Amino acid sequence: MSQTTQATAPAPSTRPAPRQSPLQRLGRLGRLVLVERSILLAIGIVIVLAYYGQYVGYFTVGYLSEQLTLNLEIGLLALGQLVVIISGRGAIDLSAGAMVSMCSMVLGFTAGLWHWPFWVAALATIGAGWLMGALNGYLAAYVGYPAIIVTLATWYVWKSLALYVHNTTPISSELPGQVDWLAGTVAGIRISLLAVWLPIIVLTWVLLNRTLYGRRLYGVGTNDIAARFARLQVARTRFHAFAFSGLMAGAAAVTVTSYYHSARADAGDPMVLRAITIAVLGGVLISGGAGKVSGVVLATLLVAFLNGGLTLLGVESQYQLAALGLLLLGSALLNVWSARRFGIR
Amino acid sequence: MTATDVRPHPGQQRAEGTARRSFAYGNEVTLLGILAVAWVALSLAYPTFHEVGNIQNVLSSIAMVAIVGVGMTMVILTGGIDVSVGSGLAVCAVIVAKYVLSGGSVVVAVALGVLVGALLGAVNGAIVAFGRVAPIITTFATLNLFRFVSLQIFENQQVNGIPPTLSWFGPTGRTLGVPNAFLVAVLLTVVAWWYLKSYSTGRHLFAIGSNRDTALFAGVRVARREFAVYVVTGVLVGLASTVAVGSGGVVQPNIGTGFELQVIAAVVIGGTSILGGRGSALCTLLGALLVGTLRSALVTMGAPGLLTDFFLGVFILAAVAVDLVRQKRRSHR
Amino acid sequence: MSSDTTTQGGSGGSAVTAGPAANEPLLRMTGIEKRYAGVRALRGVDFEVLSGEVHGLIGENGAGKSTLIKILSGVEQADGGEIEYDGKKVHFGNTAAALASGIGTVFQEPQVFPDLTVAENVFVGRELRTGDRRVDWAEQEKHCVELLRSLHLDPGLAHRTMGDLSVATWQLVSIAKALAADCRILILDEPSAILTSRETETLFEVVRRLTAQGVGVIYISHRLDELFLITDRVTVIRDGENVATRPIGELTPHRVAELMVGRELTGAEHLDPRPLGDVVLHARGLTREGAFADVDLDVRAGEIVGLYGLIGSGADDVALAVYGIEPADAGELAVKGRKVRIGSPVTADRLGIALLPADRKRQGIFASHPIDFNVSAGNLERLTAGRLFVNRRRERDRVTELSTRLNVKTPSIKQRIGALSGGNQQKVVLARQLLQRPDVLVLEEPSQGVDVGAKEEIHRIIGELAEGGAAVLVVSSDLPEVLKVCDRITVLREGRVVRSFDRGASDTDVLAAAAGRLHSTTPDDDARTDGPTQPKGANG
Repeated sequence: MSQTTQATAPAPSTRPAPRQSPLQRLGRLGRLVLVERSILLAIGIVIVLAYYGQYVGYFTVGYLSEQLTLNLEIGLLALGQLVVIISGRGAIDLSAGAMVSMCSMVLGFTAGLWHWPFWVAALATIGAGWLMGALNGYLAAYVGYPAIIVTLATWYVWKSLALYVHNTTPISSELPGQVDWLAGTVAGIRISLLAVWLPIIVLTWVLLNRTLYGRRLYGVGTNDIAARFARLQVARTRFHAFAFSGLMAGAAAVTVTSYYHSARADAGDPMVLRAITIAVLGGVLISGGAGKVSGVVLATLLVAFLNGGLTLLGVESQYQLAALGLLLLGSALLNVWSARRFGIR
Repeated sequence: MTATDVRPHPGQQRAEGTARRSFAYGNEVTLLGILAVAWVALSLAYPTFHEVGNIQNVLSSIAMVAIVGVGMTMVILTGGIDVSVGSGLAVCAVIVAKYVLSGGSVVVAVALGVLVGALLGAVNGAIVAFGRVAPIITTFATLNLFRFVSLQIFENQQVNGIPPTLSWFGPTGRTLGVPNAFLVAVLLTVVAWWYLKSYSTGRHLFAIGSNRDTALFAGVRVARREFAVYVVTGVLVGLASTVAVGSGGVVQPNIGTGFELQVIAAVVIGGTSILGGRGSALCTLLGALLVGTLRSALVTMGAPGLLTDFFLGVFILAAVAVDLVRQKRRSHR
Repeated sequence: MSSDTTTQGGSGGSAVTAGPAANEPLLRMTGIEKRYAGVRALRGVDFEVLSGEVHGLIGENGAGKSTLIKILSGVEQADGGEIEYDGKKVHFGNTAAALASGIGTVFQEPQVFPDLTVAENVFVGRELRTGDRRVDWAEQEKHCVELLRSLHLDPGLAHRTMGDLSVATWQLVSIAKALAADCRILILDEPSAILTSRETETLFEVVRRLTAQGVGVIYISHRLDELFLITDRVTVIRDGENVATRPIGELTPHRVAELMVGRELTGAEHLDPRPLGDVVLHARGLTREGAFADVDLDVRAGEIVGLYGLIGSGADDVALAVYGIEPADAGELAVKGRKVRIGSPVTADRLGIALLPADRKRQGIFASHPIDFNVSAGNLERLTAGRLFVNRRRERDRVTELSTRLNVKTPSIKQRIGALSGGNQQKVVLARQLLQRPDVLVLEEPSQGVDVGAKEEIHRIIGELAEGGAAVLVVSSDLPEVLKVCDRITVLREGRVVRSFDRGASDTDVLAAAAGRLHSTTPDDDARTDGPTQPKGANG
């Protein structure tokens, strides 16, 4: 009904763009690349593939998919970190690795020692992960602990409990044969990638971009005071974010146990740093409210393919540690700089 | 992570709390009380507990944690955190150990450790204070970078046959029956406590943690102070590494793993707020003593060694809960 | 830039060095320009302060006075123009520089360290030292006590923790802090907003003492009555320009209001009356301790009721109680005739109540997200497809419809809200409230920080909403707005309803009711003992 009042055409908010010199256009393109993390990562992937592709044995479906498989669990945990960190107020999940270790033992006990049907055991494992994440979520979102403290404490709780329950001994031979199903391959690609990773990526993307929960999560993470006014269920949203991270840990426990045919209490030890690295590399902002599934997935690919190249060239594994640390720092600095320069993306 | 959550509305009054003591943090008494009760109870139940040898063990075992705890307290006061201290310890320890192995002197060994530590701390400090990257992320990254560096220097094998050059710092080095390392820790704690109380630059740490923006506005050199606390922590890590090297003839490549938790636990159990702005070096020392007591108690009681960290984790949650309750009672937010 | 100031006198006579010659201004700002994202917030503003003068600064929200002050206190830097201070050209690159030069600022929202004591708060950055450079606690405490006494505050507050004290005490401590800094120019930004009349009197005392010593005071306030009590000259800022600088004696409140708005306030401009329905929102004896007491309200369908009060009057708190964010402790509420208890925003929403928050930046927008996200954020329950998912088509349709209706100027509904102007942002947040077609619409400061054109639009929209049958409650501290838009005005002062006015009320009357007496130093005004707020100051 007020369309008629638009007759007093106020100045449109975008003036027609003046002609740009090639240099200006290049500058704008550069800005776009830096601001859109996905583009930057995609370029990085292309560079890595092109560089290592010259070495024999690298650029094959088998080798590349194997690299992805090695980083599968970290990729899952990174999605968990994505959700937690988006929820805001500096939230982070330091206990994710320990939860994987503990869940691995749960799988070992249920499937191996108690002879549950494998699929039931797997579900129980994932459920256990959810419960552990829910504990984090309860303490952080409802009771009010700072997330760093909660997840630091639960990190050591689960880590030591995992070592204790079977006296540090892995459960291996007792595991039933169905465990290996996920480790099998189809056309050179591991089933776990197809049956676990791909569906979870889709699920997470749908969760964040198509569901009501996703809207609440981004709202709460961006401005939790405005979220309160908009009735976005701040505490509950944050609770579920941590629970989701636990869910990812449970799923990762199933795949890693399957891959090694062994339930180990140290399964999750190296995972947390790498997962957080990938999340930050993928464009997640520690301050909350920002981060995309596409970024995290591309970052996972980049790290996987980069590691694959280093391995092929015989570089010792501890260099990957250094590379990750530097990558984390570099991407964090980039995040800070571009957020300040270009507004939060 | 500043606590500027919901600001009170203009005109909204809040209940005036009860008066607090002005200088003592308030926690010291509580902690001493708990320590006293714990020791008495444990000594009654397990006579071996209060043997001199056991007490010396406890004091010696917490010395490293208490030393680094001083620095960690300052870092946490400013609202930051440093999870790289364990890896930093490894770097300093391997360098000092190799130096001592090659026949070096005490003085130079200590200086070397302190210098390397300072350098590591400066890396953290620069990235946090000037790069403005979140402390948890920064020190998470350096945790692994430093570990990588240490592994390179270790060349993947432990350092053996270290001469007793630094044994003054070790468990056998004692003055009047008290382990030297512990005395060093006490000295540092007192110095830090005094500094934080008496000098404006010390007070500024509290200001930064309490409200960083207001501190900036009031003319506090925030970046400098933030940089400094990480360097100080690095120096103290270097000092702690001399204690590690002096504690035996072997230094292993996995040294320092889990060390950061022990230090943070001591700080948090001592009552320093993880959000910054409130805390005390004295309380951290008492927190470290409590943690040491807990560990010793677990051993004495025959609890499974694997569960030590489990209890530590629970203990942290309990200690922070107390602080949370006190906060909630104070404000209406 | 070290802040190593040596000890100095607190409130007593101190050595403020004789400044420039008698009529030379202590401070002169010429041609100040400031741009934010292409918008000229300040367009060549001239402003000066004489030594020993109280110079009032007044203007509507968004007019530019805060920006001017930010430049002077070093928070921001000007894009153009000059600042001459004490006869020399200066440039303050940061707040520490301004502070070190003797320009002290007390902000509207007190900047404090909640974990430190009062004495520490006063002296952070300017600590008093002993001979060996340690902090001289004894001296600081002594000075702090002196300052507290001079502000009629309990000296025992000196070692209380800031976080335990009330916001008004914070404000007074901020003033003490500025006094301790021994400034030559003191900027007070809405200092009395959260103070009682007695405390405001103390404030005036302090100001008079300072000016007697030659300090120049810049006094920013909405409260016309205070300006007339305390200032020597007044500068009116409108749309980024200095439209008038006059001695206060040459002005009247009405004239000042006109200068602020830029045209004659005939009082004849008003929204058209419309037929009224039944009472939709009913409140009796609404009370929340510390905020407001005994508030009665009735809003009919089609009616626009104004809740007017100066900042700190409790009007904002009443709105939050109706919406359930900070529920009332006592009193009766009824919606459409049914008694209700509104304990949370979810309940309010179910009852058909919507609220436009007062502070759009902090309480309203999700700045990094697009318009459609912002509109649907408050309406997720209504935009579902199958309970879990967002109904994107419905969202797009409704958002586009509302965006057009409210005339939000944007190339697309996917535009980041942070990139829009204040007025358009406000419209988006308003659209969020309107999506649910509420029965009761509570609007807090609906046109704050909004340009003149958008302001007119928003007022027109409010009229249309009422015509559509909504019961509208406008909570505002903007007098011309309230006079223009509302059918009835309920005035709040210090948490209580003092008067109600019908259409056609005069601005002076309404203002007088909201502010209290215009010429008061008499104590009978300070009847805080029966007020909802606890007595402060001596009993603090």
